[in-house]
Amino acid sequence: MTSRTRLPILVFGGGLILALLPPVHWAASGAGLVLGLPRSLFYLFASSVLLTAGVVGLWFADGAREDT
Amino acid sequence: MAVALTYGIVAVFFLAVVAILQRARIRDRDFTDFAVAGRSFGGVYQAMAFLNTYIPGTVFIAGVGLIATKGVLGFYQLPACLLGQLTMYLMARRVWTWGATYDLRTQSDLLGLRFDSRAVRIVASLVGVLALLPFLVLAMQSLGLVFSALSYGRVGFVAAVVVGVFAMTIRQIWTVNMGMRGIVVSDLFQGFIAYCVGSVLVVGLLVWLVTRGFGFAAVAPTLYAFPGPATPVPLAYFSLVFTLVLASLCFPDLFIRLYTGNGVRSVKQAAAIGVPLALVFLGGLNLLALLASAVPAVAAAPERGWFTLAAQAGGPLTLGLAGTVVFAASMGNFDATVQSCGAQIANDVLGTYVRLTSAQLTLIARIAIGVLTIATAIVACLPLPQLFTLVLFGIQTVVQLSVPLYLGIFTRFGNAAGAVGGMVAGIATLLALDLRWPIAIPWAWGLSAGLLALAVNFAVYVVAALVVPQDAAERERVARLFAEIGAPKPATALTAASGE
Repeated sequence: MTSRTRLPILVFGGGLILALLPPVHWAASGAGLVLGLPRSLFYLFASSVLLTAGVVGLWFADGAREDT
Repeated sequence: MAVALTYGIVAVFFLAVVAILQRARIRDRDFTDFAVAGRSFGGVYQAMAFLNTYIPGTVFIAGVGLIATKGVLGFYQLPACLLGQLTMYLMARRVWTWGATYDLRTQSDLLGLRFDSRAVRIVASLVGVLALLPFLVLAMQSLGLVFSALSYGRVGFVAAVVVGVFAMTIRQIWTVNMGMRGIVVSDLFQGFIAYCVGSVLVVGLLVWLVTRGFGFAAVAPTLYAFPGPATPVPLAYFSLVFTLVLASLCFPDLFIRLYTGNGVRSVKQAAAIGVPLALVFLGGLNLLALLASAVPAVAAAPERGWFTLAAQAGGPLTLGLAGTVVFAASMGNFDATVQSCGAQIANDVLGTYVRLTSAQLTLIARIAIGVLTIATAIVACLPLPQLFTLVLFGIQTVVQLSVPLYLGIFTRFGNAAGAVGGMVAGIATLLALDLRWPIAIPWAWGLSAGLLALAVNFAVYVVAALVVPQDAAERERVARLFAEIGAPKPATALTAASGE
């Protein structure tokens, strides 16, 4: 892992854990508000934004490589 | 007048697609051109083609219906779509390099190469086609719902399906003649309408809903809950997300996107473009479906919710646009799916038994596309069970390819016997369990039949690899394959890189 790719991979790894671990799903379940959003929606959108940032970040960090 | 306007908007869109295809008309030089468009497309085309295949029109119908009735459980496609594109990103170098080096045209081609086995190629191809069939029928049925909704119910469902089937069949003239090139070219426009115009429409409908009092508080609190440890199916949401993540690149029509790019960079760029688009579009649509659950007319007919909202919010003009968005998504998905099935039947089933020329392969693929279009059109006119169950069956079937596909691409572990045995055992287990528990299995904490079948598939693959280890020649062959990943690019790739 180079220093350029470390941050996007860490961001992405965080998103991956949030998206796939059942205990996280259970903890995020419910209608209680977090930053004005129902908890489960906050979880879904926050994890999705992290995943997106990870993939896009990886592309920019990885872009220096000589892929054809 | 209203119906003339709604149908007119769809007709204008359809004519625009035909005009684009006619303008871009280039005859295929050979079967590689037909199957993978000569590996000639850049990142933007690739991104739209991926989304147009991954997100079919049925997300506006079965997807909206599922969320409006089951709540956040139905959001599973959002994380799966994002993770699926990451999988594409990670596979890009290996798959594209092997594809260009060995002139691979299908997913089964790659599996045949990796395991050096005709049986792997044929079984993988048949599993892929079996999994795609429900999506062909669903695309036709989605169009039926579009044309029924656009007529404000004046055209009955069966008659509307016939109209949709007619439109889709006309469109396949260009799929038959132009193959993958026509599909990717039209995907750019169809994808723009479906996911960019679609996102704008979603945002507009969200604003309309919220300003009429249908905010977060109006949604039933139970719809914000994932099934938890106290329910019989605590792993149901995990099962849906994980199965679709694994299944994403197992779909032959999606996998082929790794070949149609003009290089590794284009495939990776497609993921970087596609992920934010998917986040905005699917995130918005899912939120809309959840908020719409409180609208009485949507609750009464959830699978028509997208059209109900559009008609209530903006009348015929908005309804026409909403129908066009679904039409664009359905058409892109159907084209890619039927083309992929045709290419696999020609290349990986018949082509492995009989030595066929490039022209003969193309002809067989074209005939298969024609036959599949007509056959699915007939099935689509029949009364069918819940649409979501059909979607799930296709996903659970295709995920059985994930064991040989991912282990074969990312590791040197495994052999042909394990790959074939695993896939066959997986499909047999799936069929046995899915008939009884089509969505979630209570005694398995809500895991799907597909995931349990996948565990059997994986066990067979591993046991076969341990019992029958690769001999020295096979180890050397596989090592050579993996060594090529970092090798200089083949000439075909460099010449193709200047295309589209």
